Amino acid sequence: MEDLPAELTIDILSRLPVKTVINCKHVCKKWWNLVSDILFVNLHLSRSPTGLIIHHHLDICMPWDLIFPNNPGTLKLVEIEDKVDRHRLHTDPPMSLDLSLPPNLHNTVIRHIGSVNGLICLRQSSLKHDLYDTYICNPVTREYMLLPRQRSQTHNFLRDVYGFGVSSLTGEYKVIRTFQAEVVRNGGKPARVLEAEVYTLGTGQWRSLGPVSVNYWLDAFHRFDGLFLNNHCHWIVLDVENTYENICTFDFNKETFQSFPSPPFEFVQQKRYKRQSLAILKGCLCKLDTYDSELTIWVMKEHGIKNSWHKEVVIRREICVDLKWPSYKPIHLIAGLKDGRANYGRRRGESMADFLPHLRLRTSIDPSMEALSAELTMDILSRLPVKTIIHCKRVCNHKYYYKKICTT
Amino acid sequence: MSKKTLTLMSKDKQLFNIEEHLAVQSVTIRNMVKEDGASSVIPLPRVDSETLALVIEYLNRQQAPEEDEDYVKKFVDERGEIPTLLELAQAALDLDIKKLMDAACMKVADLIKDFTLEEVREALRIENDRTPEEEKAIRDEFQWAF
Repeated sequence: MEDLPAELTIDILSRLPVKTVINCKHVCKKWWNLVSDILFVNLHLSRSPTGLIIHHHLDICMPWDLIFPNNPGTLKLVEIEDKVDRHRLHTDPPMSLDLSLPPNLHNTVIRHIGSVNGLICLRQSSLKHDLYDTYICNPVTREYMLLPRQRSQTHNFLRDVYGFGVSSLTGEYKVIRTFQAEVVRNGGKPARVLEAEVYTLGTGQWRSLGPVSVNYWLDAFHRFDGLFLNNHCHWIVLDVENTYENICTFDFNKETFQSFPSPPFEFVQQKRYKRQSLAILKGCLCKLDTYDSELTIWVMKEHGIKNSWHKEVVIRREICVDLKWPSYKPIHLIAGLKDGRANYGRRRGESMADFLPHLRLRTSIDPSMEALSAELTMDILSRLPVKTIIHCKRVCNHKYYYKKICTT
Repeated sequence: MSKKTLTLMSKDKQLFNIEEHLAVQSVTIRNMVKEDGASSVIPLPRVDSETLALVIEYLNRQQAPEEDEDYVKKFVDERGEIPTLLELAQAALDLDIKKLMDAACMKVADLIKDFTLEEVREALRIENDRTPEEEKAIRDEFQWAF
């Protein structure tokens, strides 16, 4: 079959699950090159089922583990089967990546920034070694790229946030970083300045975008990295002007920041805000407000239209007796399956539940879900097409590319 | 009025007749017919007679459009041998019969998806073109990923 034309080989390979593709890369040199072909990448991406990537790190239990971490954890890909008659997560992960194997990840903390088209952006930090690095990783081809260090590293790491996305106009992948600094001008009082810089894959350097024009501050308590949807990254920020608008976006085409409509403000007595977070549910932006007593999920039906925010579901704490109520950690919506269930996991996922929109907690949790919850401390990166094949070669061609994490 | 018939010739010079209105499901044949009326024999130098017979059997199917998907799937399922499927996919590619090619490729993918590296090589008769040293270097590099 050596005369099998490339077109046919690509077509067949693009129908294979990720795990087999990794294997097939090693069949021969020709296939190795085919799997790197942009034609294959696009075809495979379009044919792959949706999946999740779960960052499993059992060792981080205490705050000091962040400073003296033992193990960066494992990335696991989980496929979502959401057919007419079957809705479940395949918890026997199609593949997993043990981050503790590459020597340069030892004893560091790995945090996910986001994922786009199957590429994952990871941030590595180790306070002990004063080390901060950003990686772009393709879990399918097992290729990694180390981004250059930022021009201005901030040691107060509570005050910088990242976002990872792709420009719909140019197809360029970008990492955006906003950071807050205190500057003393003319011997006066120190002033807070919020600046941004962007890294376009392939350019080899961070580019400053200058001060951020939108009036907001990074919220140390709600600090999480940007959620990419519709060409924008979304962050929850501090509402400086008391307008109850506390979402900010970055446009990956125009490279500008805008404030973004929040769900309508509701003053509810005897509810104490615990946590706010953003997620994607059925392709729509959604905001999760966790209170002492309940969890509210808002969904924005039409992206950017304030009036389209509506309350999708409210889950009262008393119905979730067997669920450890989320405290200060954010909740990440994993998926709304077509049979109406929504699944969610918590960062410290000792418990995980799926529930019906009409507020009845399922008493019999899908066994596969239970296995997942018992086994994994999870950190949901985002919804991610498992097929996950985007080849970096196209977008990044500089000396940092192919930085090998593993040197045996 | 009798329907117009075309003659296709396989790699091993066997001739096959097929009605024109069925043959033009192949975009390649349709274009040839448009260009020169395809009055003479259409040579298919890359398709052997066994495969061509299968293609003709497929083109001659009398299926309602809504049953077509199932039919194609069943058609390739019944010919579950990888070499046959690859020949079929190759012919469908040359003749530009999209549904048949999709189904054949899907079937091959299904068959090899749980294969090991060595089994894939064997099934598709691909020679490993790396030296054992190169092989080891790559294994070492990627070992953490398996």
